[in-house]
Amino acid sequence: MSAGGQSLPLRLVRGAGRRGEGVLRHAGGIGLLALGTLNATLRGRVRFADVVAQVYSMGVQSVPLVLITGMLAGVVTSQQGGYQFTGAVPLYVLGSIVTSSVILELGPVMTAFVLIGRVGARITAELGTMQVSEQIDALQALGRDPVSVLAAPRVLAGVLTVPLLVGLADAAGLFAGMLAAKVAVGLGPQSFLYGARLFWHSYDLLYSLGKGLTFGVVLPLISVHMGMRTRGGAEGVGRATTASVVFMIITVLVLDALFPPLFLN
Amino acid sequence: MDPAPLPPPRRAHRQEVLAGALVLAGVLAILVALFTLTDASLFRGRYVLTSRVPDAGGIRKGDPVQMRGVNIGRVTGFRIEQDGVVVRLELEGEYRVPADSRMELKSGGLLGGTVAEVVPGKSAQVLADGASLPGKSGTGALDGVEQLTNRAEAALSQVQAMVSPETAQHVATSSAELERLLKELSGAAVEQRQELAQLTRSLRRSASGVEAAVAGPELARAVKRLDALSARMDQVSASLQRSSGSLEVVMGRIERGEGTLGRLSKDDTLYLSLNAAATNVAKAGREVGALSEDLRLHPERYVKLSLF
Repeated sequence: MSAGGQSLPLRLVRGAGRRGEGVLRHAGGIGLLALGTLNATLRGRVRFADVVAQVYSMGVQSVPLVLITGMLAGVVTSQQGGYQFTGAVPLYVLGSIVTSSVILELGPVMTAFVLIGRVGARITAELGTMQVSEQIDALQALGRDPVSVLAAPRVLAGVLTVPLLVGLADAAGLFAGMLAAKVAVGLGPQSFLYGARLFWHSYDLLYSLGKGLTFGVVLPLISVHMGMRTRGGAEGVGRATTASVVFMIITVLVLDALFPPLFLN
Repeated sequence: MDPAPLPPPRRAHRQEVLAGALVLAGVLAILVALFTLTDASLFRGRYVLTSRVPDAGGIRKGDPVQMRGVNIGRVTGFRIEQDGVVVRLELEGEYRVPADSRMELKSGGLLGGTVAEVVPGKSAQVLADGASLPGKSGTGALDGVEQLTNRAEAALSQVQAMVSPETAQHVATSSAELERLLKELSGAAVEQRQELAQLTRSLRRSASGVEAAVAGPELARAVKRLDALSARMDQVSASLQRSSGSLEVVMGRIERGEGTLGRLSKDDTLYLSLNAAATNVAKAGREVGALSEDLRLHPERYVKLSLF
């Protein structure tokens, strides 16, 4: 029986079933990948040099973009906050608003978006190409575990570098926001820091780094998973890369929305 | 079996160095952000004081410590004990607190949170690191608002008590009477307005009559006549003045006994002479009367007629 001959409810149910099955397969694949990575790491089957190479490519090469993004986030928050709050509340409150916005939200999320575009897409395309050109099969044929060789170094590099990059973005956003407050509304660094310290909790920085750590685990896992299940040649690589980027953006936003109820208050 | 080929040694070495630099830079950035935002005591020569208060009043970690309005540190922690709360204050090393100072918790305003206010004493000695100073839970701006609210509530309940059903009835009655009065006043005002209009018209007519009289030739003639009359009155007045002067001269002479009238008024001799003369005349009159009577009765005595 062809699909066109089916009634609408049946087609809807079949579609929902296929979607549900796809979600479950993704969740299962990512979960198994995470377990495999943990297993390989704990058993010491991950080469340090591979991790260093991924830290270089994922972290060091992302530093300029992360710094620029973090600084602009601080500048924009400072300018908008200054525009909104001038004459309404004591201006030193701007220090707190910029600091909280950058550290709680913009630093981790903007860094994650930079890494999705710069690193996640590249990992999916790289592993997808290896998959469609059967290099991963060749690795397995040679007795190498693709998870230990390809997935684990990337995930470990993500765990190590993303919190550091988030720390850099936070610091850059904080200082750029402080300078922008001086330029935009004439709020001096002393007043800015007074406001920032008035409402500051050191836990906020831990929260920010915790977000970075979570993104650092999730983004490489998704990009590796999406790359390793690529099918269909060069076109399939393109599709997988696009799907991977969308998947990562949605995941980052969902996790970002889950963080405050779970870890704030 | 050999593992996957490693990158060339020089390149791998460079990547390691840069990865290490990233780790250091990241850690450093986190520490700089943390120290900037917490104003860490480690590098700022801070010292710690404690103070026990019965109620912490909602003060939070990081709230400012002030002395005479200057921020001299921040609240860094609490310890709840049996009889109160021990508040830990971290103060800047450059601000020293006299030994007999005390600490009060105050509301710093709607956005300012709570402030730990150090009220400085007069002692020359200063508190050392770890010392304790007496504290109390003071009142601040928001407590004042609370008091104000309580007073407003009390005033409101009094107002509510005043507005009883009887009062409301009285107010309603008064309102009805007031309405009636207003209607009457309105009617009176209408009448008054009509009368006023009539009066205005009458006044206008009178004004036009007066205007015509003023503008006409009669008034000019009357004024001319008045002028002539006035001139003649002036002349009469001058004549009278002259007569008065002459009379005054005459009177003066009489007064001084000059002339006939003067002597008459001053000299009794004339009067006596005249009196005697009058007496004589009266006597002569009587005699003439007697004579005439005698003549009438006895003419023969005086007239003797003989024809021959």
